[in-house]
Amino acid sequence: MIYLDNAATTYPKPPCVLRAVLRAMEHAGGNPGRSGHPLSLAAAEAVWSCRESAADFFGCPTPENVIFTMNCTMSINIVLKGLLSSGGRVLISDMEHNAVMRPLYALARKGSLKIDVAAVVPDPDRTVANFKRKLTPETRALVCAHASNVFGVTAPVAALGRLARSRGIPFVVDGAQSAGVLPLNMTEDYIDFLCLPGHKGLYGPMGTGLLLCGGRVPLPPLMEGGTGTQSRDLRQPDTLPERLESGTPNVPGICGLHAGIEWVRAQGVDAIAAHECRCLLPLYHTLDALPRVRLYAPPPRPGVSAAVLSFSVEGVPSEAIAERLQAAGVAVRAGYHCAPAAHKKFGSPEGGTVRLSPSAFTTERGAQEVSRVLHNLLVNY
Amino acid sequence: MTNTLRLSVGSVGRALHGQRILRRNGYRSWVHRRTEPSREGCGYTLDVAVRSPDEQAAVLRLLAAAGITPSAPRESGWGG
Repeated sequence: MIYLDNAATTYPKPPCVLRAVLRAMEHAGGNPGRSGHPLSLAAAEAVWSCRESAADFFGCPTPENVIFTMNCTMSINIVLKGLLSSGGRVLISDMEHNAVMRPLYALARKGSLKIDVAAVVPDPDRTVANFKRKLTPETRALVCAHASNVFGVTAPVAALGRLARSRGIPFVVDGAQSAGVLPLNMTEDYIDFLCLPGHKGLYGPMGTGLLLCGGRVPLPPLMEGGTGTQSRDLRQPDTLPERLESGTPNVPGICGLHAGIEWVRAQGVDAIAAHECRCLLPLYHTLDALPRVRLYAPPPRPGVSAAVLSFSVEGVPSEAIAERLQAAGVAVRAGYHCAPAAHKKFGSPEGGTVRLSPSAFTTERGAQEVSRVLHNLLVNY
Repeated sequence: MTNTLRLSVGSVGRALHGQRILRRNGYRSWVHRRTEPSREGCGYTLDVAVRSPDEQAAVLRLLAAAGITPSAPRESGWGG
């Protein structure tokens, strides 16, 4: 099988990630932060090392501000429900994933939250101007996906962060599709909350996620519980990470994520992005030359867009194309990709698009093979 | 003479953070589960090997710079 569904989750994982998970289960099998015996302390050391690694990689001010979650969606829920439960207005982009849309919709239905939407356009200055126009004195947060999970286009996060900072409002970034393939730094990009999956571009196991807090804006916990500290006080501790982390963490997953982050660091974000774009380019040009095929964004460019390619074929449901590709040994994702807002923005047809997304493990030869399969499949469809 | 400065730091994360900062600055330290009963409940201590009151002050300064403020530092040695 040629796996081109890496925007859903990367596969395969680097061997060092598999080894780290196994090693954690063998040698760090105690509950971190709960006891003083060697297995518990070994687990705590391993978890702390991942915090340090993530903080350093993403420019988070201190490892304490690195919060482990189950996935990017959980990170986003903690932030949005923490910041916006009492209402006001929130400003988002027009290409948000349902990880942002659904929590906001739920908050809006419950109370007085109003959602304002600004368009992301190819010109970064115009994008910033669009956001600037939609800001009001009641805006409580600016929330933006760094890269569209469907079309790969990006928002100018540093400029939007500067705008949010100048207005004194928190800047929340959904880095689900950009972490590990685009430069992303909380300090340089003025990001107050960075929400990330561990299992996509960071090559960690599924069931891992990160919430990185800038430390300027306090956040109430989404859930309370045991932290292994201050146990006689029924109030949740005020300090991070305990304030936002309750219950036993996913130590094997966190160890795998740590190995993934270090693997990405060793490969280099730029090198991974360049490789992924090289893999997508022949596919882009093949599809571009076919009749009835519609592409939605310019060819992917390293450092500018995420290597995600969506297409549709006039009169053919996207799921039918995915099924035919699957029969030919190619794994892709079709439909709306949990991002109906992005599909609406780009005007994709009923049934959505077929999405091709490579990873560092995709080979150029494999991509050329998919190119040939697509050509044969679609030229006379 | 080396003495042990016992610092009650709350969570294991803060203890490990403190340990790594101190290690980078040439101090040896050990993380332990807190053994003395505490009003707060459970927590961790960082035992730091220090050779003088000056070193003790330096350790506390290094930790404070990282936002780690131990409750009730206790030492063995120096004036009983």
